[in-house]
Amino acid sequence: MALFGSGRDASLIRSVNRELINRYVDVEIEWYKLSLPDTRENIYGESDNKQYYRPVKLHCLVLKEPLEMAGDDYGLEGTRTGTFAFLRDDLKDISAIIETGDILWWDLEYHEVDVVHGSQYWSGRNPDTNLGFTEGEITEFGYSVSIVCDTHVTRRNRLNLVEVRSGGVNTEYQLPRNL
Amino acid sequence: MAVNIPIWPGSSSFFPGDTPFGFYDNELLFQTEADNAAEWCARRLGYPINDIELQDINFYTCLEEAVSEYSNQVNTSNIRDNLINLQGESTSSNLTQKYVSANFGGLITLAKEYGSEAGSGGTYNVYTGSLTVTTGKSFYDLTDTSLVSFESGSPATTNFEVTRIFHDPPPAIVKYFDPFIGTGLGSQNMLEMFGWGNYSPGVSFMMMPMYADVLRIQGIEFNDQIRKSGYGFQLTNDSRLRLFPIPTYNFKLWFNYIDQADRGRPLRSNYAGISDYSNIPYDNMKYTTINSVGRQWIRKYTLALAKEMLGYIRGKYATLPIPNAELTLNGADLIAAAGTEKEALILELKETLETLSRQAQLERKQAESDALQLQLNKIPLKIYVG
Repeated sequence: MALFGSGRDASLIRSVNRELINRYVDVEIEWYKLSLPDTRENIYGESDNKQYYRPVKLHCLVLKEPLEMAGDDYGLEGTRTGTFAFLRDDLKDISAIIETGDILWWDLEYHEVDVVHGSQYWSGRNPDTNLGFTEGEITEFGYSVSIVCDTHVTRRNRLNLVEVRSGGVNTEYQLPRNL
Repeated sequence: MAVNIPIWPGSSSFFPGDTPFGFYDNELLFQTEADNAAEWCARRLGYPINDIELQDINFYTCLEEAVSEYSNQVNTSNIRDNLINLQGESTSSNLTQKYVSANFGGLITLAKEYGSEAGSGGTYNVYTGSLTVTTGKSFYDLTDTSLVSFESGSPATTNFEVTRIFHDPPPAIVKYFDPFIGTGLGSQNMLEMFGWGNYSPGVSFMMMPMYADVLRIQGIEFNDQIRKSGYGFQLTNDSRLRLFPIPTYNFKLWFNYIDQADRGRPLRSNYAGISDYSNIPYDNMKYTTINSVGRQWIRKYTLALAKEMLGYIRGKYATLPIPNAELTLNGADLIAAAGTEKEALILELKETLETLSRQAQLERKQAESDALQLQLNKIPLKIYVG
């Protein structure tokens, strides 16, 4: 039986993380969940008219990579990747499941989620899958800390979230259409 | 379901039983102070800007420890001052925050041991024994049970030590004033010397000057010392006795002795009470009876303890995981700061108590008196103008 990394200690980590992410850093992003029932797809399972649920504000730690510009015969194209790290317990509290294809809006950019990681375990254990704990043989040990999303910046015109072709209200940035 | 340990929410409500030992839980003032101290400490540690990973019972524990530490320091100082005055007293009286008057009890108890050896009082018994002395025999073995009898114990088995032997020449006075014969010189001679020989019976009211008696007694003693064999003895190995002069008649020789075991027996039945630092009856003080000076010290010490506790909590793991990274908290800083504060507070209290010791107060009084005397010396004396 483990001695260190108990649920009590995990509670401290959760508390410190919430203080750090929600109060000190306090970076909020908008999460657009892909709505599969509302999205039409072709016979290949592809869609050029994706629909999203209303956005939800989430706290997270964001690592935004530098913008990289590439030029070819069709002109210049900028690419940027990013990493959005969420406290897993925060997502769990609101039953938020971030998946590949979801959109994260932050700093006037729409990031499409490429990969979702969830394997940052404190003391090497995930209590949700730790056999001893799930079978009631031992108390809680370990802590699944985060959900980390690797993303890339995507074009706005493919998202149907904002009008990018027909103009709109002349403000600094445009609200999503479905708000 | 994940374990969720609540941390300091911003307020608390104390109930008796919330402290580990419950020394002060039933004092209303302590109950009020507990919540106030918790809130004060939390704010001093950064709440509400920062979360404080402590609970109300942590703060209560710190407060209880601080009161006990204060009480301990003050009591230790009092014990240092009063132990010598209280050794042997009953342990049933609670001396906490009681004035103990200085007395000579302890000093005299210490001096009694010297008195034992000097034969003036003491802490162990001096017994009497006797030796049957026979004519012509000067050597005796004091362990011989056929000749020696002891008041306590047996000559053969008791590890005795002779402290006094009553082997002296008869006092000169008994030669001078023989109760059966009268004065050694004859009363008629004395009457003649004073010119009262014709009165009869002049002895009934004759008065002699005292120095005449003293001179005559001294004369007898000198005569015995110089012209006769000296009375004396030699005692070796605590038991072999040689008498001078060789006895010319049978008599009983008396002597005093002690049982050597009594001398080395440190426990005294009549000193069964307070013996040392550990059983002198000083208890935890009532929080209510501690003055504001003490309470402020207690608050500061409570804060230092809370800081230390928070430091240990934050420093249990060198780094804590945060999403996609790691975080180092300020546990080490808190522990270091708390250690310094605690040490300074204890040192301050000890120094203060040191300056308030009985010895220090007497020295200060003396200095005050000397200074006053110096000032008074500078005042001109009154000059008489007729």
